[in-house]
Amino acid sequence: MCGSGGAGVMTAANMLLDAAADAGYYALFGRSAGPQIRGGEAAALVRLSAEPVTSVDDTTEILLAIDWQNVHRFAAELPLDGKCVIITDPTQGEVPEVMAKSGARIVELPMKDLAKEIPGGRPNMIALGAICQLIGLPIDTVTEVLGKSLKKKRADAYEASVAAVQKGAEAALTMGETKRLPTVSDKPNRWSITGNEAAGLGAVRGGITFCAAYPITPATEILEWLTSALPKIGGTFVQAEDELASINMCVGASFGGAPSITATSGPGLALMTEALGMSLASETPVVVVDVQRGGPSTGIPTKSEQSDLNIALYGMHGDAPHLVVAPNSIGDCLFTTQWAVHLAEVLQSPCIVLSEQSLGQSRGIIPAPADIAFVGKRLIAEAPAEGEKFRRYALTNTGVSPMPLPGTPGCQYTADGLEHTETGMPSSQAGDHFAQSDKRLRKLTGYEFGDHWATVEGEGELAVITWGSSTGAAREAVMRARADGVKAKLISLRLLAPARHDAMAKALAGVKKALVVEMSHTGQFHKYLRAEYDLPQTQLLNRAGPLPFRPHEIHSRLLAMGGK
Amino acid sequence: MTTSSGPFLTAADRLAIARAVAERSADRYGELAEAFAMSCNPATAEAFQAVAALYREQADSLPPAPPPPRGALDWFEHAPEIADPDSVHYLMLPWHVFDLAQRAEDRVHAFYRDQQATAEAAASQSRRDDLCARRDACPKPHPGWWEDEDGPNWDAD
Amino acid sequence: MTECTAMTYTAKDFKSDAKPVWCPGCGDYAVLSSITKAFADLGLEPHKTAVVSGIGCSSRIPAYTNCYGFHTIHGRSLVVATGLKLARPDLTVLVAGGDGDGFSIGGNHFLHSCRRNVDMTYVVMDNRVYGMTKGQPSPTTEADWDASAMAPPGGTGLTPFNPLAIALSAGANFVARAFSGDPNGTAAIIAEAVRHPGFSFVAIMSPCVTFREEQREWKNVVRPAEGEPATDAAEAAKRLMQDDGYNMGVLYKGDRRPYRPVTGSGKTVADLDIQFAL
Repeated sequence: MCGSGGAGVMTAANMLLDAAADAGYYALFGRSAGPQIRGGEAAALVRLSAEPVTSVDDTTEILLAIDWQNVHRFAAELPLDGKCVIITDPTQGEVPEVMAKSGARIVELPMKDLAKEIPGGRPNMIALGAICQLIGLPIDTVTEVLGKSLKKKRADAYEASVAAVQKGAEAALTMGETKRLPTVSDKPNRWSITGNEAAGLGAVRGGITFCAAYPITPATEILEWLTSALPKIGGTFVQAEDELASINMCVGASFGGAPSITATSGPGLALMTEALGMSLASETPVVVVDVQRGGPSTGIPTKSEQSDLNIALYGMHGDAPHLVVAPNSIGDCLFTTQWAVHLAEVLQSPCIVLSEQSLGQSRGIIPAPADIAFVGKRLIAEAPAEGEKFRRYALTNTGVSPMPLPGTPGCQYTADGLEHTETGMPSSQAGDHFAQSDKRLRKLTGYEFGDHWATVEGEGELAVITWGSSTGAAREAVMRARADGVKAKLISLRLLAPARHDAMAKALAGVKKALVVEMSHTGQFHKYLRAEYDLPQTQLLNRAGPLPFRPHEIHSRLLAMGGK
Repeated sequence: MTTSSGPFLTAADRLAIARAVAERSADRYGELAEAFAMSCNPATAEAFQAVAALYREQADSLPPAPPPPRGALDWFEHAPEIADPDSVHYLMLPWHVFDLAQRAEDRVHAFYRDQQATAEAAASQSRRDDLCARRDACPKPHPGWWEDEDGPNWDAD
Repeated sequence: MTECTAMTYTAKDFKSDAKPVWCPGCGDYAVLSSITKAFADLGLEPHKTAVVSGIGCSSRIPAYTNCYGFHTIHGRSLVVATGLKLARPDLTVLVAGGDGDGFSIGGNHFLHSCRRNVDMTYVVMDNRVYGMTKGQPSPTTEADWDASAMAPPGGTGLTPFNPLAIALSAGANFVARAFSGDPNGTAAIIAEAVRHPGFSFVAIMSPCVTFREEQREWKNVVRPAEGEPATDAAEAAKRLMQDDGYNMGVLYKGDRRPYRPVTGSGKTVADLDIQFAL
């Protein structure tokens, strides 16, 4: 649904989502907006399904415009074909040529005039009613949603809205056929949540009690959520003066014993790299969520891309082995952030969580996430060994050495970015540098990460290797290919660093050809895979943001690779 | 130059001021029209364009004149400014546009009246009447015209 | 191409064709007018003027001018501008941005730019909020303002930044406050700031009509500053520490030495070899 300046597109789309949720459906809801802070052009992109859905579809089956103000700017994000329907208000501008020539069927719905027939009626409610009628969503689910949000506050607005919804539904009866929702028989246990909210919740589930942060699009919602959540559970939130302050405050709090997190985007992560090095060298845990946006530099703040992999992997100077993880869906933002806290605490390492704008700022109606008991548990030192000076950086078998909470007698040490001895004294000696470098590396590479390192689905001689938000489209493509007789595997990495050679070899067993899919203009993920892993014959499907991969793009490549 | 009692203007001054006021008004309303085109409010943008055209026409009808003496237009500099949060709203309607313009013209009229510039005052009054007529020809703003359900901090919950 | 006799440029000549995306009613429109009017009144030439900004709503301003511009990164406008001015002292350099960009992430550079006192003018459009990221408190936000999802209930409780006092104590040579609701007055202050040698700081109160609606009241509370600008730093400091934030005008005009890099002594690169040759 698109429109501008007071059209109420987002409000209507939100109600559609809530109504569909009440009726038992799953959904994905993303949005696009112009650069204006108020009143500009906006498009709400909603996908409804009887099954869990984690990707955009190939086309926009119904495109409804309350008005066409500058909507042509979104044309690339709203692909259309002959099977689609464009619903337009004849008094609110012409259908943009680029959309009209797609061959989509154009239907007129005079939303503005119909709304005027109802005192206090609004065109967006007419639109909502029409859409629900067309797709087969019962109108009473919508009126229930309206009741919940309006009845108590403004009874007259409620009456007007209900009347408008009904009028829109009536008008839709003569608009012909469109794609309809399948019926659902029950209401599975689901949540309504955005990727950013899920990351915030994952953080506190993982045991975070401190967050210092600086607002940046598109990560700000994580911080807003934590602002109210942390104090409720006895934690602390601070808005810092910039990203340098944020990450350093977090490392400081972590040194004191509080599992800490911050959230930012590419430009902020670039600022944080020095302090992440300090966390790494001093073995003080910290988690940074990078909600990736269009790069490089200021780039495209409001759009998605998968191009911060390089800085996440290689941004620190020196030999700097650390943790990098990436969620592959809105729901996975919760699990992966929680897991990140756990890993950072257990392995006493910085962990970067590579989320994306399209996950973070989209809302999903998703299967209720399982409550997994991954709480970060630091190996705490309570006292030095008998007769010894406490060795904070002792060369243990696992590489993880117990760390004390300040306040513990006998365990005082100075955390340091300087290379150090086992007791933490600064050292420039070769032996100490070799030993500590080895400790910091093997504590990660020797850790048993388990099956969470990747999502591996299906069997076949073809494989799609991907990560992050591209996973959803890849999954749908693999399913379609299977139906076409081309068997393919989906391998979506959740743990990007350290590399998991044995696990990848197992996942690639029997795979003869692979297709790497990523939203990076320079193919960062592909280069990384080639550097770390033995790959079979591999092709690359990549581009810069902001357009997400659609299932048919990956599907057609798989068919070609499978000889069809 | 002041709006209250003060030296009366020479004919040359009056011409310079009239031309400058017309040109600056045309510019201001033109800028406002652009701002509202950017804010996806085409009806209001058009209304501002109409008002700008009115002043452009007035400026063009006057013979060329040098800029007025320094300070001569200080009284005018409180005319509608694109940056006045009380004058404009991204959802405002054409009715508001003509109302804003006629109030501004009323201030111009008051200046000429104080200066006893009878011809200019009459012309100003006639412009003001025209703007009032255009305003009254517009649909009256409906209650809650400023309401936008989609706030800037939109969050789907 | 030979230089023709200097043209006179009007304020319009300093504006580009790009249409601002600011909300109607935003104070920044008036500031754009004031800046271009000041440039015209000073007799500057668009191609010899540079406008450098950071990140935020007000930092979009360079593209709306017809000058050479640089839309840099968050908080770094002053140092990019410093590099430009030191390499090209012949250009007129104006730095523009908001209160978040300038006093939060840019705070360190603000301190040192005042101290370094390079000849440039820094205009901050202060609306006491982070507009572009949808409404978080900024360093100049009142301690009790909490209409933001990122402010604790009851507000931050932090003492708001006093940028004028800080500019003065850090070494700026010209300190002024203006209000976007008086575009001519603001233009005059900016012109004076550009004319004055050294680092000139102009804090412009520029209301945010979207996230700080209550700021429409500013036009009823601002007043012209009483008396002449202070020329003695200690006296200016006293005034500024007692200032309630609503006095408009030039508050300090100093004679602190502007930054002067070491000048050359006419050697060539080849001359430098001599120190190594045996």
